[in-house]
Amino acid sequence: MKRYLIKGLLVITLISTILLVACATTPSDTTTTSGTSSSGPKELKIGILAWMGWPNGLDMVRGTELMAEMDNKNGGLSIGSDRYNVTIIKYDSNNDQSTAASAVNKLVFEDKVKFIITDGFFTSAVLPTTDKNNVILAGWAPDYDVALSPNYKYHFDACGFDGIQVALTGWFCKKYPEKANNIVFAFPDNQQGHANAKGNEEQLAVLGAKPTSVFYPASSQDLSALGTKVKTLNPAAFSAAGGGPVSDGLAIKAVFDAGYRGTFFANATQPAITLSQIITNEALEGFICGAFPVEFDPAQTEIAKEFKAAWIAKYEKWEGPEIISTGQYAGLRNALQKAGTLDVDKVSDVIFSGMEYEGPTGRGKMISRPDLGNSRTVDSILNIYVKQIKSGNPTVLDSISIEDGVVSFNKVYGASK
Amino acid sequence: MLKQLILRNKKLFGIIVCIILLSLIPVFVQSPYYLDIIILIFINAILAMTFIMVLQTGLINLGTAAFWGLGAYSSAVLVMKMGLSFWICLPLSIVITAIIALCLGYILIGSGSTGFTFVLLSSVIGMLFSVTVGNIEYLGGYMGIPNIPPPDPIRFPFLPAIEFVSKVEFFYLALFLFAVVILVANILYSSWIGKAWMAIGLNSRLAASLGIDIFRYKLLAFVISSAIAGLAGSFYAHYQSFVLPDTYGMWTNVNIQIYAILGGIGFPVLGPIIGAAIMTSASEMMRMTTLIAPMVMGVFLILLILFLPGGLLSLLDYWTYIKQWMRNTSKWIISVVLAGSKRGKDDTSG
Amino acid sequence: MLIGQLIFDGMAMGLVFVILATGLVLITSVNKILFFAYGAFYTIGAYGVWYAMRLFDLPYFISLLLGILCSAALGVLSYLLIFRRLQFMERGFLATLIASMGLFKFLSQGGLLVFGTVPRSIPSVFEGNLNFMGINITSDKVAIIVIGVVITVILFLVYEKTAIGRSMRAVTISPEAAALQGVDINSIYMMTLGMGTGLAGIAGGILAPTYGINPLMGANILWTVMLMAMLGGMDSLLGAVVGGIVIGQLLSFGQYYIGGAIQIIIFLIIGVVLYFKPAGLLGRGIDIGI
Repeated sequence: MKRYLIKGLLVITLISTILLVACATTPSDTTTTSGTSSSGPKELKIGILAWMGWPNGLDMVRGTELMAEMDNKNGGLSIGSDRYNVTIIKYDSNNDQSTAASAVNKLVFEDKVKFIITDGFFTSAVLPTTDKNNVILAGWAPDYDVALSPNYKYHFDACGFDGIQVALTGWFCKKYPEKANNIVFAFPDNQQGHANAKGNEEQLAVLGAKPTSVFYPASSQDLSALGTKVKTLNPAAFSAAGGGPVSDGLAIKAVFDAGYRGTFFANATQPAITLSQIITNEALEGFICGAFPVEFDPAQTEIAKEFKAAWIAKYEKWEGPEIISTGQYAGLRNALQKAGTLDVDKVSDVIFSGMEYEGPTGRGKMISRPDLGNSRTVDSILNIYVKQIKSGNPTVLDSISIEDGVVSFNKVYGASK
Repeated sequence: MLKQLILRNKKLFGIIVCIILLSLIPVFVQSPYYLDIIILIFINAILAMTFIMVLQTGLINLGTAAFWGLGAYSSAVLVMKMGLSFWICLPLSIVITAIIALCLGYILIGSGSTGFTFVLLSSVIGMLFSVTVGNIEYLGGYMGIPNIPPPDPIRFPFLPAIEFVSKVEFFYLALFLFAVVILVANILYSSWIGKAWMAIGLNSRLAASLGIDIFRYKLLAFVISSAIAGLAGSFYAHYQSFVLPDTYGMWTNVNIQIYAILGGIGFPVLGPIIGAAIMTSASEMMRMTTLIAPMVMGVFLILLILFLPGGLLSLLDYWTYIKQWMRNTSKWIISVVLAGSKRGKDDTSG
Repeated sequence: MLIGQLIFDGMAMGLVFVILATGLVLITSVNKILFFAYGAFYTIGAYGVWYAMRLFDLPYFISLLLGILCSAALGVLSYLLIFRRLQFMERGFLATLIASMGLFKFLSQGGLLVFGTVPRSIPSVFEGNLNFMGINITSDKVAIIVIGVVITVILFLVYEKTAIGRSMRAVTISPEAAALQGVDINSIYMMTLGMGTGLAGIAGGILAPTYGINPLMGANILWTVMLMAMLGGMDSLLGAVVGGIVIGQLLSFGQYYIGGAIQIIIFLIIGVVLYFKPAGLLGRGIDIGI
């Protein structure tokens, strides 16, 4: 045994000296490819990193590809004096950290992509790579206090996830103050649920509501006990908005089946079509929830109408896809056109100085996050609609203008902490 | 003298030569993308090796990823909350993982478990890890711990300091850890301990009758393999600068097991390396197929295991057949060519 | 009243779990496979019922039958194509692990692409609910309980009383000895895999009207079901029933009183049980050759 140990130690020292020498002599690869010479004369490459094994990721890829196709059909994006054809390079993150990291490495170093859009699963994991190599990353992040901090120069979120939440909560608190004082929120016990719960509690406290948060096991289909719990608590309003449409739908269904008959509200934008697949029309009657202009029939804005028509032409039917992340592409495209160049710094300057844009998810405006010490406009607010479901169909209840949203947003995130 | 030394330690010198060859990779491969994949292969290979180490004693460990995560989290917490340097965290996280593995292993292996019970118990640990960590606020919950700093620079007199700014330095660090693990594994396998493990794996009753304390040796295998997984975890946390509980979930365990088994169980060191290399690069290559990539991967796995059930290295068992076949075919080709040329000659002459 | 409600709700989900767990126990104990692809068959069964009802306008019970047939046929097919070759191999356990993982990857992503990302639901078969002493009893859940009990009883009769069941039990204990006694192990293996995946299909099918279906429902169900099977014993059908009901109740009460963290407590309970009874509550312990 002793002989082995001595031998082993000798060999380890030998190897470590070799490696140290090799390490010291090999040049580091700090060469960051600057400029846009690598991308072809009239080709604009945009990378997508999404987990294509879950609905939000898959629909985001489909939606973004569709928008790029529409742009290409119109002769490409006109940026500066040139016209560019958009090529989407999409990689699956497989819901796995190392796969996501290597996918981003491939996008940055092999495909030389300068703009990446992600569905938010691993934003914080890939941000160091993209930021160091001057690549713009657009994506919502569950831990926004890290991802939107001033440490990162090239990251923004144009899908307005937090903004939608805040605007809707603010609207609800203003409209139904007595109900907001006695509201129960249900979240799944996983990454997404905890992320939403964290933001939610902060917002509601500032906006003057008294929420109770309840967690239920994620990936469980039977939420009857949650329903019973909500029924015994008997709040004035119940909200499930934090686990994607499926989990939220199951929670609402369970609460309704348990016999609770208060106000159902959600400070997110679950598509009514998806919800009605899970929940009966009787239970959905009067459900108040945020909505994108695409959802209504007919769609509320011109861009949304075009998008919906193109989607139906390509995928045959409109089944309530989760297109919240298409806002990223809309914001990015707008920034590129306004900057008139593919130069990353100029594009990010446009984005970070209060850009306004419009996509299928509505008009949007970039907004700063003073609470995180970030004066650049990295977050976003959308002109969001409020829908009420009547006999299974969404009807427009109200429309929260960007200005109203900004007021709520500043109340919550305005003061630096 | 030197020749004698080399001849006596063939395996060791083989390893050294391989490491030197591997250390030349960054000279040829500059792309961080490929370097990243190679680092990933090293980590996966280390994890698969730990799986095989426990498998040697007849236990299927479905909790490897939990100990990997334990190493990663203990290192991340020590760095972020206590402000220690990576070079202190690395050994500390190994020690922490080993101690926890000792306690858990004492319970798991001590309950007189047969092979199958251990599969179940270790998978309980595997499932428990991500849920527990996700519910502990101190450890960042489900959001994980971001912004873990890279290792502190290594400073030597008379040499420029080595700073961990790019993938190249990480590559050398990973290669170093990889080499250490290979050496440790080799030393263990060629010593009395490894022989005892193998004896237990082949026939535990016979081994017990020879005076081998089965419980103690199984526990030793479990603790050592978990400590190695902890080492890999500590490195991984600093390399990715981000820890997330779901990364160390149950599907990762299954993947580790795939790396280990596909390479070839009969080869405790080379098998996992080959398995990890092939599977990691295969899944990278299948990126091209985007939407159907998991399906292609599934078919690939099924076909591999159907036609090479002993792992990729079981091809070596067929070496004699392959040689025979090659000799026969070459003979056949030569004869065909000769016959053809003869006929050709005949044709031209006739 | 509250406790009665929780017990009732736990019972309904518990019986779905019971069916799932018995299927998994059959596959694990007879075929000696750790069947990772199990969750995919659960999804396939549920979607089979949905397609039969939507596309062919069939009544629920015939659709359920079709859904079961669909997942059982896929199970048999996978046996014939994949597991038949691996089953009789030396160190076959490890090989089947990989093959079943490959099958899972294939089926789950294929399912997502075929079924689409949108969740589906089947209209309630039995409308109406009853308020009994403050307990809200929906007839859908009663139907789940009744169907669950009927299927479990049928399964027990098959397993205990028929020649096939006897052969299955013999193969569980020792395949070689069973083969020597004239049991055709190949067909028993095939039948068990078909039965196990069929049971997963039943579970998906009876759950669909009450809880709705989505393409991701089977992704993580395996681990929950495996816990139940562990609790009762991986080789005991009765154990699976006990495990399913106990975990159903624990989840129901835990959701009410504790929230999401109940999973940790379940894991700990199972760890303790397995420590004192390594083969589970009612199991005898399986031997696998590694």
